[in-house]
Amino acid sequence: MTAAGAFLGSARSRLLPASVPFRFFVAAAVFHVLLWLVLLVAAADFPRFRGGAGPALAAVHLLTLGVLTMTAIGAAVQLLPVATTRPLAAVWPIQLAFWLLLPGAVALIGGMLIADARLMIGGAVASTLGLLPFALLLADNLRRANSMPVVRAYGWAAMASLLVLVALGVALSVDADGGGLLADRSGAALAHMILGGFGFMGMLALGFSHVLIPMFALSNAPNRRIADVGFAAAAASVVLGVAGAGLGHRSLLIAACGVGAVAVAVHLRLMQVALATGMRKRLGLSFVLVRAAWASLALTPLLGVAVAQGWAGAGGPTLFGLVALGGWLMTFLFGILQRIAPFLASMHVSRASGGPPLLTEFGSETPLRIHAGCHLGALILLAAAIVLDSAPLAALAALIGLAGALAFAASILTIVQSLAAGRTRG
Amino acid sequence: MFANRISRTLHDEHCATIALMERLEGAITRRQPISTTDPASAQLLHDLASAIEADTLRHFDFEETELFTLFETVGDQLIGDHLTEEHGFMRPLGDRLARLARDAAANGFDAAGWKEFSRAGAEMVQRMVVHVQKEEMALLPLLDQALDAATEARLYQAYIGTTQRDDRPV
Repeated sequence: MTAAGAFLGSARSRLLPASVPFRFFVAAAVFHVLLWLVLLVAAADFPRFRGGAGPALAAVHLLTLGVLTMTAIGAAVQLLPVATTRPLAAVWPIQLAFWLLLPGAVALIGGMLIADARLMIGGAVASTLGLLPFALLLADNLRRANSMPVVRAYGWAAMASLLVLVALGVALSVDADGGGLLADRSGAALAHMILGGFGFMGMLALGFSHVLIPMFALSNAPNRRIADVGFAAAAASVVLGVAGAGLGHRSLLIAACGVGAVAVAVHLRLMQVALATGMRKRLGLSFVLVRAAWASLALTPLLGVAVAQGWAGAGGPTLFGLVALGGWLMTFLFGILQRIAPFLASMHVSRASGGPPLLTEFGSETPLRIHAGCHLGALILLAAAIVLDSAPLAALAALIGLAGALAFAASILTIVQSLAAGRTRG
Repeated sequence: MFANRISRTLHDEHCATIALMERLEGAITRRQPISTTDPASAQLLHDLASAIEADTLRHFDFEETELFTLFETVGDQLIGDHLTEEHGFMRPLGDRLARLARDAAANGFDAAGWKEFSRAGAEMVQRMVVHVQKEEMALLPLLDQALDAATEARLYQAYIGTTQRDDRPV
């Protein structure tokens, strides 16, 4: 079979059972609701959050481990085999990963919420064990792939980041009661955040963008040489940032932001070219979120420099985390998820009247419109709450975010109902 | 960009088709029927009917009779089967949409006619966009790699011949 035949074939023959990616998407939707609920509880502390167990730390990990990681794994296990035209070695490791990661995340986040060190350590270990099968499958698939070198490079960088990220995560949990395991706890926490946000999640998001954005816009793949430059800059930025955090060198952190700005500029230019040259101009609601995410991504290195130089005020570090994790990654993933979830579902069900279903048959756009409005509004209000150190504003942001999260969960639920029924109403 | 003329021609037709689908999408998202006395709306209905009756069906026929059969002879049946199945869903839909567009161009839309046109149009847009996505990502790169110069010249002449016989703009 030719590569193209394999590519199209992979859309069906390498399709995982719908329950595999969708269990991660459902979990992410539930964690998303919990995130805003816990943030409501943490509204007083969140604007000046600097780490340490409590509701604010729990809210951060509901976002990173609950929403971002769950979404990324669910999407990656389905998209990577299609992108690399290599099937996953087996499906059961992903199911195992989920059943270790879900209780692990719940225990870890619960431990953070009630400041219980034993629960945090147990949760961190279970989460690590859950992420391990995913990392092994990812590595195996990347090793066997011989197409899409840029996506593979980003995939390897994400996997390497994941390994160090979880090691640091376990160490931070063990050290949570001040056990003295880590000489510089705040530096390790910053390195953990950089590896999670920019290493693991960031690399996956940037890498898959090279496939997904041209696919949605119907444009050619990004220029390979420029994409290689973008990858090199992104990887170097993460290495510099982790080194700067670990060694406590502010100059390295600033260098990481500088190189990161190059990576961002290259990436956004490639994406702009893809959209400008693409046949499809009407990209819909999902691209409102994707464009908002890109705006946040562009702000991230600038804000990073301001924080490192002490120009961003007392709320600067929290604002940096919000812009990177919430503004860029969460917004981007929701933009992509609302597009790929009905597409994946359409490959598993048929219409009541026969034939392949239409994507619009998986539910109305209204919940997604509500979610997009609430999501962007909540992030803007939360940023204002941080700048003004205002608990009431943070609480209002959490309430608006919660409304959006419920709307998004309703939209995922509608898709799952169609999957369960095996057909749409069309 | 593609090296051979078949891939380039099919790609250009995809561009024109998606541009037309976007015009259709822009029209049917309105709640009120478009006015057929409006020149832009009348042009859309004309372009839609012409493109479906001539270009789209010719494009499908050429792929099925020339390209997919060629792939089948080298043992690659999967891609042709999949895309032919999608053509099978779009042919009757296209016929219906072209008929509705011609009727509306002659008589205007009533509420029921607009509803039927909007539904058929929305379905056509969705199916066509996904179909073009698959052809752009899989079929055209395959053609670009697989065709030798003689086959490319023969197929190109065959396709251009159908275009000239139809004597309609692509």
